[in-house]
Amino acid sequence: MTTKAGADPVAQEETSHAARVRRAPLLLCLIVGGALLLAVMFLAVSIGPLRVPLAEVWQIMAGRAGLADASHLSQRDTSVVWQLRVPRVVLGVMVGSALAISGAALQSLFTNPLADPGIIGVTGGASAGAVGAIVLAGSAGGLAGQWIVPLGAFAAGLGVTALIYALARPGRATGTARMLLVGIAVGSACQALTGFFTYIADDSQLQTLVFWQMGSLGKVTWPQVVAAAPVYLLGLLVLMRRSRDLDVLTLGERQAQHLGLNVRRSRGTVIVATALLTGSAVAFAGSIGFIGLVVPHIVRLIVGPGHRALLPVSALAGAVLIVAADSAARTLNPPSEIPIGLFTAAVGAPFFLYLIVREKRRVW
Amino acid sequence: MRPVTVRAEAAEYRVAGRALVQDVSFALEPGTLTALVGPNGAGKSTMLGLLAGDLEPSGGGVLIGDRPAAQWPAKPLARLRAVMLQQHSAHFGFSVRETVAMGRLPHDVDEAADEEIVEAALTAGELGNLRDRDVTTLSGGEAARVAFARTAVQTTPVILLDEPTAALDLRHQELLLRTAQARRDLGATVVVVLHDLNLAARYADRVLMFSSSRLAADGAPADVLTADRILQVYGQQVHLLRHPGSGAPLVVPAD
Repeated sequence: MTTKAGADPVAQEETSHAARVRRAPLLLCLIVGGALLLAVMFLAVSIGPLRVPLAEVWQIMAGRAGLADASHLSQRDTSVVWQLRVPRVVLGVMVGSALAISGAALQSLFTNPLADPGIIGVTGGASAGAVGAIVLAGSAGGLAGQWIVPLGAFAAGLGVTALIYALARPGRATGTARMLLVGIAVGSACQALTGFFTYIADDSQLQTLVFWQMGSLGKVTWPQVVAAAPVYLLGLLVLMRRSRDLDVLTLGERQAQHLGLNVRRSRGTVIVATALLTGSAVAFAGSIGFIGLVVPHIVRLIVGPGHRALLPVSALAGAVLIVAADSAARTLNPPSEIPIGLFTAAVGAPFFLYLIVREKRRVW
Repeated sequence: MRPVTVRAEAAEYRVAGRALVQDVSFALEPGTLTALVGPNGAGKSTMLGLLAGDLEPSGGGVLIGDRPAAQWPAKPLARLRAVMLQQHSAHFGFSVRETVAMGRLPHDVDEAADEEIVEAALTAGELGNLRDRDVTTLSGGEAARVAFARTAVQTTPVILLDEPTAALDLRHQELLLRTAQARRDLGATVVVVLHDLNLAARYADRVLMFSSSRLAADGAPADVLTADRILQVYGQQVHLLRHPGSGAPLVVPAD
């Protein structure tokens, strides 16, 4: 078999006008993304009804870290920055990266670039779980009260992810239409459940629900951040460690198995990790849509579909997007806050429609 | 290469009470290329799924080496057998090279060796010019060639191919089966589901003909591919000629 490459006229002719894969270097993306995130975080802490100059923000942070003496600064500024804005921004980082990375993982799991925690119903499930927890057990005080809502969101998110996957898993000759239809059905069921819990809620529960459902990072406190952090970090680390598995899963379940992946185990791990991430994001920030769809899509165009690069860069980009959107939400019309979900939906929904139109031929 | 025998012993596979494969027995030795042929729905792809360990037989046994195929843990099994399926769905923009390199996953990482194996497979499949192409932009035939290259870099002693040539042009059909033969010559046990009886006749050492879930014939191409049997199994009158070059049977439909 002495075939030279030149002996294949068809292939040669095609390369000339073909889509060649281009990739930005991972390290560069991480540095740029990290720098951008830090900048956005500092800006977000600085702006608001009470404007705190960046230099002062820096001094307060340095003081907190024990690197500088911040005692001469105004007590009011210090407490606004440290007690209100920093936890809010930190939670924004966690929620944004959790949703973005969950979206990337679900897209690989469903071998479908249109998967998203919101669209396929995971967010709806987690919401129903959180609302159920508020209504049924919300009066529990103390530590149990801190944990009951995230637990409800996580448990319901897990159940719903597993259910949707069982009904619309790849390789069952189904495709996008089935995944979206199952998502609609499960989403409506969850919405009905949420409605039912809202209906039976008493007045004080109702107030909690309304605030929560708007999808806001408004009432964030340090204890909440501390409560969410371990769950978030666990989910993040587990998914990052599975980046090779996620690469192979994009080929399809059966093909992944042929390449030596224990599909059942990786699948289970990915489902639990995404449910942890989505569940904790929903529990603390309500349902913020489309981040999981939009971010991985754009990041793939820059770093390619390999999850070793896709996951961390998506996490950074998702964090930047949420922190920026949240800053806009609380500063555009002060003192009232625009629900952050409005921003993400305003960008995300048209983007989703565009993807459906563009991908029609390939995915359907 | 470690010689590995593949066996079916009264293998049976049922879905909802309907037998897709029943009472099938054979042993495929290392260094042979076996073609599975038969009409649509005769059970070829199901048989391949059983051999791959994707499906667990409802009765009887299917063994790779000394162990039931479906009971091998995923990773050791991936070092023993590579599988090319009929469908090659690509929704994510990995490059051709990256996709082929995924075939090295079951093995311990050795970058230099992996590189060499992947390059060799790209060259053998005439994919050199497509190496940086986004796989979602490939034609069906190109995608099939990439999938074949991925099974090749898995460097397994058992190779299972489900209609690998269906979407390929004439030249690449021949190229792919010659590559499969080269692996056979190195001692691999190669199983190919084929619809084209002439390809089966020219490239296979042995032909297993399936007919409504059972094995209808098993033997050398010239013995299995007779006009009578083809009429009986496919319901199609054929003329049997000789290939002017190799002398292999040449099946031509009668008018």
